[in-house]
Amino acid sequence: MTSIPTNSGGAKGEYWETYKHQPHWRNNEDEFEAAKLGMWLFLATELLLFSGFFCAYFVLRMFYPEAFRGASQEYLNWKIGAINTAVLLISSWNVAVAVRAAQLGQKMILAFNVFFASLCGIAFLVIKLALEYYPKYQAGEIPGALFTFPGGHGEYLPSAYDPIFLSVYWVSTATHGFHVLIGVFLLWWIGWRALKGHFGPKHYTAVENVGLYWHVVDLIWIFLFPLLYLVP
Amino acid sequence: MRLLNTILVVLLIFTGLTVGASQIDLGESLNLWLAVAIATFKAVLVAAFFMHLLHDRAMNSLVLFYTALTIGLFFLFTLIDMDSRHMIDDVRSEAIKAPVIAEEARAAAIAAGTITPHGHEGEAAQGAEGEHADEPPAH
Repeated sequence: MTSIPTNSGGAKGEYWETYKHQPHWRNNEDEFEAAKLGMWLFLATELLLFSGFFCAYFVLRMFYPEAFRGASQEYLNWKIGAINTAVLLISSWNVAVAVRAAQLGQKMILAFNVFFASLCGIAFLVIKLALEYYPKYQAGEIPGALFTFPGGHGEYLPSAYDPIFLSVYWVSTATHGFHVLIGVFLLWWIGWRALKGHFGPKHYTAVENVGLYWHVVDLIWIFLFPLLYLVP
Repeated sequence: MRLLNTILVVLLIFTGLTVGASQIDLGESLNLWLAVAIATFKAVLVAAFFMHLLHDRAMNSLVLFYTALTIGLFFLFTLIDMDSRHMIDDVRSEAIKAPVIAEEARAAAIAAGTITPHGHEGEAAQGAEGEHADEPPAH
């Protein structure tokens, strides 16, 4: 067991050592637990938001099984999706390690892992934009009425329902990507505060809650990836 | 730390598994259920260990549990509804399904020669072409 460092030198305490809860709480722990419960309630609404997209996916898949089968294989490359899944899983691990580092008062490990996780988030977005969204946009593989039936797709015969699959793909992944972008900014904020010595064993509410948010972003991708890219 | 490492490795292995499972054709619904089952297992691991619900106050798990329950009910009743309308009113259930814009766009693309239904000419392609060929005289 790693011992928790304490500031016994009499020097001016770090922010987390001297942190005092807001006056309407009994103690720091109550404040922390309430903030976390609030975060969980917010994350519940996030899951409900995405459940709408998943519901659309299941209903449309039920209506047009053949189109979904073909379009998923034709328009999406599962290798890109798999790389992105790995990137997000690793960043999730980084965030989990960062929370642990905060609990143990390891400032630099905390900051490093948070910044590394944000780099993974950026990598995810770059892969998505450069290898998926941009080529798709150029090929006219965009949702709804803007969809243009592409030529030069080899033996693939586009179905009239391809745009429907692409609509589900674009709306769900773009909303998810937007959440990743917000998460990257939140991780920078956490990393910056960590470097300033804001977080330690006695106070790491923000690390915990941003961590939970990042895990939910990862969790949603865990479902999006097989459903959109893989299921034949 | 060790626990977190193990969980990461398990998650990556299961990502590989879900890719592998998708390469085998088990039939439409079985592939779908398998993918959802693996994803759910991974999600449970993330929630239990990365989000440390396992070592947390039960209240937070309860929030997640009721969210999952709500989503389950949402899916269940929507799918039952959408899948059973044809039992009551065939015409309306078809009206829900038919994306007129998409059909028209596809027919136009075939007419313009953007899509060339070479090789295997599907029924849908011939149907769409037939419809389009019938249209001009009517105008």
